[in-house]
Amino acid sequence: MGVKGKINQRKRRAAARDEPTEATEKLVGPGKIDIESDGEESSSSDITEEGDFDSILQEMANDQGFGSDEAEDFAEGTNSDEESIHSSDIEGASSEESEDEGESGSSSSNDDDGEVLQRVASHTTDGQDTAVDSDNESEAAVDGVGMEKLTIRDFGKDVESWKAYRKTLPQIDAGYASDSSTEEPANTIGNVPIEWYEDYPHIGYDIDGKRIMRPATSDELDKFLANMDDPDVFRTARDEANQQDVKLSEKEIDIIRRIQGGAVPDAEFNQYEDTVEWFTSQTMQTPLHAAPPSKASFLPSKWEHKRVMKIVRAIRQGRITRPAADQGPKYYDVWANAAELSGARARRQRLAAPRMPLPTHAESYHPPAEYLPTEEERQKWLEADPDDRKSDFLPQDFGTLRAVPGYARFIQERFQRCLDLYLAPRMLKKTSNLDPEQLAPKLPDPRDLRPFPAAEALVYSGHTGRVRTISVDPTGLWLLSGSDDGSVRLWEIATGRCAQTWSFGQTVHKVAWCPSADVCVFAAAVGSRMVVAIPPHLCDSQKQLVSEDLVRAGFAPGAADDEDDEDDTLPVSWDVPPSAEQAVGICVSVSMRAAVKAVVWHRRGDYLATLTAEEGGGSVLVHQLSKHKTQRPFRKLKGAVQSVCFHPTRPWFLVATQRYVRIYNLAQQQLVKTLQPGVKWISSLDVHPQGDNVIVGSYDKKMTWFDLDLSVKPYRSIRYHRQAIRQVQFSRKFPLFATASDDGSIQIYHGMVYQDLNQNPLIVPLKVLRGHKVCNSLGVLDCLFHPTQPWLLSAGADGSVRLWT
Amino acid sequence: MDSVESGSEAQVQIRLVAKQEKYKVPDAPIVVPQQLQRYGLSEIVNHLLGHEKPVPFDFLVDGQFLRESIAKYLKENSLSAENILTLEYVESMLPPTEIASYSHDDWISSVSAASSDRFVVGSYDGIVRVWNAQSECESELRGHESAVKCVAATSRDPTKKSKVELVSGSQDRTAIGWGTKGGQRKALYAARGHTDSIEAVAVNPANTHFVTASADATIRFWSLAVPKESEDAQLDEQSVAPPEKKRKGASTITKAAIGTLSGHVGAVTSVCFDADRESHVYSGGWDHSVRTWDVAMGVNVATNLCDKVVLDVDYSTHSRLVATGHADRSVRLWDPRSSDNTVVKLRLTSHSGFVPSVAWAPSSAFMLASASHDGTIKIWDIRSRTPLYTVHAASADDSGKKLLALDWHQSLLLAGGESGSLRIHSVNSQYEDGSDRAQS
Repeated sequence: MGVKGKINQRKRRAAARDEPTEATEKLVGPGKIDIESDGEESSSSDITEEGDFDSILQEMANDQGFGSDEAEDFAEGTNSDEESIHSSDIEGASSEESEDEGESGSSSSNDDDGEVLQRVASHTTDGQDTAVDSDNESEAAVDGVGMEKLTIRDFGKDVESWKAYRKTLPQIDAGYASDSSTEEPANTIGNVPIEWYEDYPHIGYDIDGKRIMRPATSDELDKFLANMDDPDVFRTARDEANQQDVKLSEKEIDIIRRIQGGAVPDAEFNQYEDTVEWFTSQTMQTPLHAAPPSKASFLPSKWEHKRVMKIVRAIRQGRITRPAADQGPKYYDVWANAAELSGARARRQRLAAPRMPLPTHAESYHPPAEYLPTEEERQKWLEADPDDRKSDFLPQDFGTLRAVPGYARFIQERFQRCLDLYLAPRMLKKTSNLDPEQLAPKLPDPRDLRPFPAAEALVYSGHTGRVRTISVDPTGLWLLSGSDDGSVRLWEIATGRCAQTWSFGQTVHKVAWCPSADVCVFAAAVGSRMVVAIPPHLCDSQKQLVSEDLVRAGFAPGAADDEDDEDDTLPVSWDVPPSAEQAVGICVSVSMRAAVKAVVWHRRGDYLATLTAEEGGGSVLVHQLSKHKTQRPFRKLKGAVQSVCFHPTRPWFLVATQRYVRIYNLAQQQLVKTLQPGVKWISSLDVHPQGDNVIVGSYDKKMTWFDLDLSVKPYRSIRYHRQAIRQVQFSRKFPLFATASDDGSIQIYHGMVYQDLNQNPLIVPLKVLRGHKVCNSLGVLDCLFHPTQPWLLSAGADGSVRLWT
Repeated sequence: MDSVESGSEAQVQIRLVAKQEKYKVPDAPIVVPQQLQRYGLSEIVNHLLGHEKPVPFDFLVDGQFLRESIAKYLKENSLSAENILTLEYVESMLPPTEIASYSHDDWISSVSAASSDRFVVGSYDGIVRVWNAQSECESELRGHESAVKCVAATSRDPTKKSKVELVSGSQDRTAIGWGTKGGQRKALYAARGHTDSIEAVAVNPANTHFVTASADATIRFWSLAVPKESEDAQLDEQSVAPPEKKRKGASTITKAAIGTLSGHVGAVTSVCFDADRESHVYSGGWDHSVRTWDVAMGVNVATNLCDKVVLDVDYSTHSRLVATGHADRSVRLWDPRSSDNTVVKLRLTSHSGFVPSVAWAPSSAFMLASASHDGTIKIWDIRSRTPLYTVHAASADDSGKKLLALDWHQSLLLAGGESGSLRIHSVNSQYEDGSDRAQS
């Protein structure tokens, strides 16, 4: 706080005085001010210490003394700095106080003076605003004078009259964070270039409106000499506004140095003070600030309430009514908007008349000779019916334009033209400018989704009837095919060599290799039997032993007893095949009541399910090969079963009837789910090797993909085939699946199932494989992916098995 | 410039270079019309050499055969007609001619020429037949229980005479070494140990060992020598066939493998020795890999992967490349010395079926032949992407029947397959491409 601030404080304190007697200040002499203050007073003044206060007063007094010289020194202009203003203020204040003191002693005597001596409690001109205090009231009672008073100072003989009548401006109480109090300029010309005062003797005005005279300037030589002499020249700066040199104090130089060095200007300032954690997680016992919450924060606004109530009252009293619904006029002008329509819009809608063909050479008044008709043509034209004529006119040569007569058919032609335009409605034909490519979904290029089977590589020919079923052994080297000619053939996949043939004399509906890698066993559905065979010479003796163990274990005497009990209820008998069949490797023959349509292995290779043509629940049977046991999992089944399938990962069993696929949990013996493909007749189904997706093919040409986690409704339904789909198959190793159809083609799709459950499977049609001939409206009857390669094997009604690579 | 190029009488300067001394012509540039093709250039060379009987030549530009007119070549490679074009010429190979055809009852699975007048044929009826050049079947060797899948005649070098004349592998999981004993060819021993069909057999050039590749994903390494008595197959930890061994032991001596190389994850279809590095063996299989093995150490030295099933491998000592036949109808060339794992040097595609057999020319660094399921043999020069010759079956019955086996011995090309006839073709024996020089 500067000197001035301290004085302000002092003045305020003086204003707060109730009684002049409480604190008395005596103007002892012109140079000295003494202060008497009792305990109360010192307690009320909170900041200033006594000693400090004394020194200020001392300073003030000095200034005052200096200020008395001020008037005389004006001509020299030496006293135009800031301090002069302070001094005048102090002067005023101290004089007031002295008056107070004097008044307290003898108020009436002052009144009697020739000059109007008025006592002002604290302020003079700002008394209008602030003197609502009690002390002013008391003063008014004493003086009986109005609020606005002028002060005449009793300063002895050298009182300047202008000073006496000066309006004492109120001190601006620069609040906290304002620095205007210390920055106030001595020269108050404002933001005006100093050059404007070049021609004048003064350089501006001080706060009281007095001219500040231009200080005397020395010439360059003097300046130089002065600079040479002056040890402080380096710390002297030029103040342009006041036209004088300013000597910078040590502190200021320090500040400049600090700024130049990029440090904090204030030497006292500690950048790295300890943090005071005002706002911490710890709850304080007392709040940081004690301001009570404002009333407005919890009281509804009274004024708003009043305004609302005013409106409410007005509505109640019926002064405000709802505007009546806008009822259009009963009759309206049809053509009211005609003007608008006739504008740009109308013009846009109007279709221009088709253009007349431009005249040709033949229509010229002087056509070239080749356009002129010969006599023959002329006769022909004249004889022809007007409708049959090629042109409406005969070219004529008039020689000159002058000779051209009026056109006889003008009116007629114009009329015909008008009739044409009037009677033939013209329409704007809108064609959509849509790129068909845009409508197709964005799918990856099939070339990026390799490998997939794309071309025929081998044909395994030998069957004489349609090949109904194929199966590849777990190693991927051998292929089994079953045919209507009653034979099962074993092929070497890589060469197409038929290694072995089994003839049964009955239609072979299904062959299936046991999926277990430890054994070399296959099952075939032959007529109403299911046979289990070990192909001879195909595997080494170790594997042969294991296989025979598995297949023949059920014939052991102990096992047979258990079996007999169940045979009473089940129409199944496990038999030792005739010796002729045993010689070719057939080990077990299971007879059933009806023709066996399908044989499906469980992935472990012990259980297998058969599907017979029988109706009802007896059509699906589950056999255990190692024990020669048969179970009937379903007492009754709704609808004719089309296909069955074991789930690859869970103990589930999928049964496809004509319209639905039901998934049963074999362990808990309950229905898990019923898939609704929305097709009329299901032909086949397959489960994705990961187990969460199922594809279903149908005789009504549709293939549907189910996401078991998603819904019982198809995730995607695809109809690309022109005929019934016979078989659908997933690849066990590659993200591929295929559909085989009666139209003789096989469709290969990319069917990517992501580990991320949020990502839907990606289905991309890749390739149509054509090669099988359609015989008796039957095309491809079975297809199968190779277990280790991206190859597809297919069996057709044309008696061939094909390998696609 | 344009008019010169497009005009029919546009000309170009060429320099003719030959590596064979006898066909050298003066090394001066000559100006020839750009429209000239191989035939015209060949006529020029014959004229320069003053040959009475013209010798056909093939022309190489930048190591590639010139297959069209010079003008077209210049245009395709955007070369200026003003520069001198250097043409190297080699004697053309004459189209192979079919000499003979020996018919068999069943499919031929493998052929191997022991010498130019003795051919070994393995057949699916389980019989190995030895034919001579007079189209007589010298012997029918019965001993396999199942189809014979592979045969390999031992080296024709008389200095490395071995008792065993040929080795055959079969689907009955045995390989039998056959030799003459008492004036008659008979089985000397049966090599047992594989647990699945033996798909390929190869005898090393030194005539001391042979390797077998099997569908059980292993390769086994055997000594060719005839053991004194049956070796216990149990020594080999992987072999398990006690009852079978006992049964067979009565008739033939059982041989056990020296080592087993396992690393393939599917059936191994083919195996061949590296003639330059004695103990190195190349193999290919259903797991799409071409592997290099050190049989002495029993380790897999390198594995090269491609996307397709490998059906046959063959190594050429002249070009030091491995050729493989694939299920994707192509022949691939590999550089086994390259450290990069998946380097295919060249891919030759022209077949329309599996390529179950490939054979390098025994005396050339550039020539190889491939037999395919499409019934054709193709002869390739690896300096050209297109086959030199495509040999179709002579008889209409055989056309389109799968070929399964191929062997190239000196000037004879043997092939057999589904039709059961062993086709013997004669390849232009004068044909030299300077590969010997290239090698040195």
